[in-house]
Amino acid sequence: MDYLPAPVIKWLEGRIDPTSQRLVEQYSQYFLVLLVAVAFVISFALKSVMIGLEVFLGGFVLLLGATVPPWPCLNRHPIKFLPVRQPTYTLTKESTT
Amino acid sequence: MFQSEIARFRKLGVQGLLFQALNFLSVIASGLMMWKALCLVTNSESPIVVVLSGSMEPAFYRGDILFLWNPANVPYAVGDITVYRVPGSEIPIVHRVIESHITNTTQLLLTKGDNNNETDTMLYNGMEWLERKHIIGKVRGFLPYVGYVTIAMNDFPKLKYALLGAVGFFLLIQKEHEHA
Amino acid sequence: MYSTLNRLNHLSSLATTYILILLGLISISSLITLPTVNIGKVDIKDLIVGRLRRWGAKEEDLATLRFDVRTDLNPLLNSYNTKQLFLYLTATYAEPTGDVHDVVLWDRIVTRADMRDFRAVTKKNQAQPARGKRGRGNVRLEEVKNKYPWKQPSGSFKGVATANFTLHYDLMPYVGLLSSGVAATARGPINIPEVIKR
Repeated sequence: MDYLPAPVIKWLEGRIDPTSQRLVEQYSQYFLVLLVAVAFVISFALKSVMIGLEVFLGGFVLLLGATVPPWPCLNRHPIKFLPVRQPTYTLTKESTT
Repeated sequence: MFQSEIARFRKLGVQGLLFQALNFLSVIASGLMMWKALCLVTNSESPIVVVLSGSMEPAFYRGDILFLWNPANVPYAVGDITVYRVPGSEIPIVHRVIESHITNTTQLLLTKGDNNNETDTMLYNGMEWLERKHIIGKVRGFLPYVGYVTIAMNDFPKLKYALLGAVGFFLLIQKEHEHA
Repeated sequence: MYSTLNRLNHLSSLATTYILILLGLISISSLITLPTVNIGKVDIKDLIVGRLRRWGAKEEDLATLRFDVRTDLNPLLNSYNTKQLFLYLTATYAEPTGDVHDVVLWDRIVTRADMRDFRAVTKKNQAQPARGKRGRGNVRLEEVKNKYPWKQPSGSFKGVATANFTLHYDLMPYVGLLSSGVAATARGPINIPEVIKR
């Protein structure tokens, strides 16, 4: 991966923060269960297998659009790292030689 | 170009590589076990097949997946869609039974593809009738299109290598993230 | 779920699982709601057994016939998960030796796409009627000839007294389990006549 230009890597990686990762995981599960139920009911009511599959695929594309790109709202809970502390000691070995 | 990747393999060491190999083998072994269990349950030597020809259109197209069942001690009936393989030819054929003659000793069968004009006598390699021992199973379940991947890989060998390359590439990327 | 590729990969495998669940639901519900067919009527006409004599070939009996069918396949064709129906007329008969024969004499594919009333009339002096209304599956066959030659493996119909004639259907789903059944039957066994001497 080191041979690709840095912006491309950043775009490809599209990192989101851990809280959002958990939420995306959870809600995509709920969404897909609901989607299967809706697609099945619609296709059964209209007596068409094709329509059921189209509803499912449409919903799936929406889901991908909502979760795959690193939207700004998926980085609302960045990890707060502790501030870098100044070293309070000196490396005596180097200084003595 | 691939220096970082090669370096990472070095870091894994012999033990790490062996562990990876073991993981890989256990995946293959569990797949094989499931296949063999399915063979036992369905009493068929090949319970899942991919349709390779258009001779059963519009029922089955190339790339559709068929689930077979070979119930022991139940004779095949006219109208069943069977998968058979005649001695001397490698490829199994999916065609419908159109004649059945049960005698004291055996059952003689004649098959035909729904989309063909001729019966299958020409395909039997000199035999006049099909017998039970030639039949792998009858079609019970159907899943469209999914098998097309295997057909595409057979028809376009380059695609197979591209797919293998992509899988390898993603494995490398995956590992890098774990280390990062 | 931390990177783009990871999310794409994870969601795709999730979706694969859920689409299989959807297909399973479709397949099971269509089997449960599969309609029953009112069994229609088959009439067998002009059943003749002749003797084929060809140079260099064994003499063998050949039976020919014409038949009428009246049945309504609307419920099946309008069913949720029906891709096509395969209709086939069979003759089932036994010999005194105990051999049981089952032979397809005629078949026809009816797909959901071209489903309509369909008629087939092969009587010479009768014009082919216009195609029926779209979206309906009433089957009216009149004076249709058998499509496949009806012969015996032994070459002779000797000892075969009667045969049962049945029109079966084989339902091909979009996805799931195949099912089959009877669409129409002849009223009782039909006598097989003696070979015509020439």
